Amino acid sequence: MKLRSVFSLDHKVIGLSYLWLGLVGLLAGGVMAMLIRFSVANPGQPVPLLGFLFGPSHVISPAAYTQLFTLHGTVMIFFAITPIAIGAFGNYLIPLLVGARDMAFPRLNAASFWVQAAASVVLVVAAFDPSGSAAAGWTGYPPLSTNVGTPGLGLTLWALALILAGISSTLGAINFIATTLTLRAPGMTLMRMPLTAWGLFLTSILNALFVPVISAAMMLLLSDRVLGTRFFVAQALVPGGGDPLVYLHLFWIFGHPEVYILILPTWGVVSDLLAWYSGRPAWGYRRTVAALCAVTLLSGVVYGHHMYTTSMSPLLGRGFMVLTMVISVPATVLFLDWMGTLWGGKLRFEPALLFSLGVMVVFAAGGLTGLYLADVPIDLYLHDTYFVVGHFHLTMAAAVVLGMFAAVYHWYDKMFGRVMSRTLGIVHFWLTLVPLVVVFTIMLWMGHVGLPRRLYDASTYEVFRPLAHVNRIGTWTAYLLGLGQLVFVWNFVVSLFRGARAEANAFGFPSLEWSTSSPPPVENFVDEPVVVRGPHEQDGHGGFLPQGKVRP
Amino acid sequence: MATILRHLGAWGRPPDVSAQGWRGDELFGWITIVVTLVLALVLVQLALVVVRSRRPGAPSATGGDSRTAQLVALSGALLLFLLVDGVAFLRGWDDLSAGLLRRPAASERIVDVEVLAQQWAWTFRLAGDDGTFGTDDDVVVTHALHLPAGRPAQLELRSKDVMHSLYVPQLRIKRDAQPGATTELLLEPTREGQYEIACTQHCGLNHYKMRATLDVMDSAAFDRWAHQESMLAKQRASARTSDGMWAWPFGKEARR
Repeated sequence: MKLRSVFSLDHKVIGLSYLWLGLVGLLAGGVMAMLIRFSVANPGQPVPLLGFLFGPSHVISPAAYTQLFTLHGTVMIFFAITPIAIGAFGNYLIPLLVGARDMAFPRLNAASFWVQAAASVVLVVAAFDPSGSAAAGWTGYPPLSTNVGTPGLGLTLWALALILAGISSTLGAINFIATTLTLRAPGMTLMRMPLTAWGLFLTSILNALFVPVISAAMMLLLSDRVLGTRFFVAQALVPGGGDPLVYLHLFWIFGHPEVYILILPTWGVVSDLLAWYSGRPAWGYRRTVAALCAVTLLSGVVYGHHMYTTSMSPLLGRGFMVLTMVISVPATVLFLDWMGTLWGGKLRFEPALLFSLGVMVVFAAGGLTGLYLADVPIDLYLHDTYFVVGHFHLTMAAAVVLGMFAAVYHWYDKMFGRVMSRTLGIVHFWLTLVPLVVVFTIMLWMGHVGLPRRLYDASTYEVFRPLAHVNRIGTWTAYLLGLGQLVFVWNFVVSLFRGARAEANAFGFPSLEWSTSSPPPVENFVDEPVVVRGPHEQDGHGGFLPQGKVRP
Repeated sequence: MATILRHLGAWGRPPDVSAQGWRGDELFGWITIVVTLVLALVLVQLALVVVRSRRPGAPSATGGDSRTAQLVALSGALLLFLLVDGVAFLRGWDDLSAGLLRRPAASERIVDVEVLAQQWAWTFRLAGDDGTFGTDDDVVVTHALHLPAGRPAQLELRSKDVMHSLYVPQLRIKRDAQPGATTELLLEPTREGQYEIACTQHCGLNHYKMRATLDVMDSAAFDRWAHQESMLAKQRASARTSDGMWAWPFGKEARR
């Protein structure tokens, strides 16, 4: 590979670099999930195959376990889902979908990738620090995350990695917003944009608004750790200290919008794919856009529901309970729109459609379980139990990852100019959806029994000992889920070399990226496209009319 | 068959032994009914979509922006909102005021407890015979909380080091202990017995070992026990153990 293409300013190359970075992160986070599941089912037992990672005893110690669940969360959110959903698809798709030659600020774009790459390196160094990696949970609550609770370089570097990842996200967000607002092709009004572009655009707005908040929290934490300040070290410990609750506010002001930051691209992609693969226009395009915007607005004002059990005023808790519940209105509208799109459609059961339907199933289950947690009296019981773990894995892990798989299957032809195996895609779908639903339902169940999360050995508590069998079933299901992903890795890598050459638009998709070759030339479109209609208008014969007038 | 049922029973929620736990449990049941119905509806509808999709003919045109569609989407969303969120909200609001965050009357013979959390232990302090915290006759017990059945216990929590959270599954409630703040928790156990107190806020390596027992006693037996312990504490107090150092003025600083 030439140096020029490594340091390319082309949004497509940067997008694919993000994709590779994110897929490696997804693999690493997935292996950690397997190790966590092993430890949860067999605490104190030597680990087969990967035992060498844990010293001569091959045993995951309580220290290693806390580091594993901290890193699993951090890697999956900031170094897997974010780079794939936003970095890869945002970079690759936004200019193509809106008919631009490149991003508004190509250099800024390259910078955001390289800062993210640097963040990954810092995190890897942190993970292997001899004094131990970050171990305060992905939420990093102080004072546990200050020197009081976790001394050592590992957590300091973890905070630095998050600051770098935050800088990268913020730079990317500015670029996406600018591109969407200023570089759309003639005729591409906002209300003609594919819903994928809408999802990515709204995500960028949330990123630009809220990622700086966690960066600020991390900088204060870093300052506490390195410079000896006391922002989050409480008075009870140090005279003249600060208040850890401030960190919680800062963290969740970012942390809740982050859930929507991660899911909005998926919602956009699914809204489009359901239309394109059922041969029907998105049912209520404008209403869907309105619902996405409403979720974006509301996402900023619900974060307090993460803090019902803290010393935050219960009156605030009640306010956040109302606001949290209101968000179910646009979410239901979105879901009904999806149902309306499918109703009366002729479904083409390609992997991309199957994964989109999978998103609907897990998003319904995940969203509905949020109803329990929004409610203060129930949350006082369920908070910090596996119910929460099951809930957020169904929504922000399962739904987002299934959505990203759908996107990979849909745009693989375009991105790599090769075709992935449909059969393996379908096998991958079933090997993903079924274990995913089973394993997270088991978590919901264990949480409803009251099992707290983040316990190294749940058998400490007599009351949870009967859950050991269920827990073991969950672990075996998780292994199956992990194995199923190997089908995807195989399909993805082998198709790069052996897949059939892709046509420019074999399936007659209407959006602009399908009017250019696969993969597109450096300048994306030979002529600047002129857009004449919306993203899913029917031609009356079961197909779609192309969005733009482009010279063939 | 009986064995299977017993096993299944053990997999379920531990029995509620609190005066207020039924509130959350009832709401949980209601939401579960609605959620199950909605999920079933979604799956049936998805199945119908697949079946209909096999019929001959081109995909139908959309009417997604029509007045009917707007009505269906908005009324569907509002219906679900009112059925689940509305009920949960009204009930939840009432549950908080009347139950979980209520201020018990003095006539209910409240037991005041100061709880100090630290890595990795819970220490509980009762005011003793003189009713004042921070005196020689305070009853201080680590790893075990003794409470009378049928009387409210008002806990105030603090932490010495990092954040912890006090949780009793059978009482259906938890509350964080934070350094630099005093939080409150109302416990109302109704049934005598031994239960477990767990820490549910990740607090370091041995978080999973931060366990204490909750011993719920008959009210009269509790009073006898507390009096006896208070006398013993007073006798031993000349040594001035460090236990005496951490009490705080009860009821003055708590954030509810």
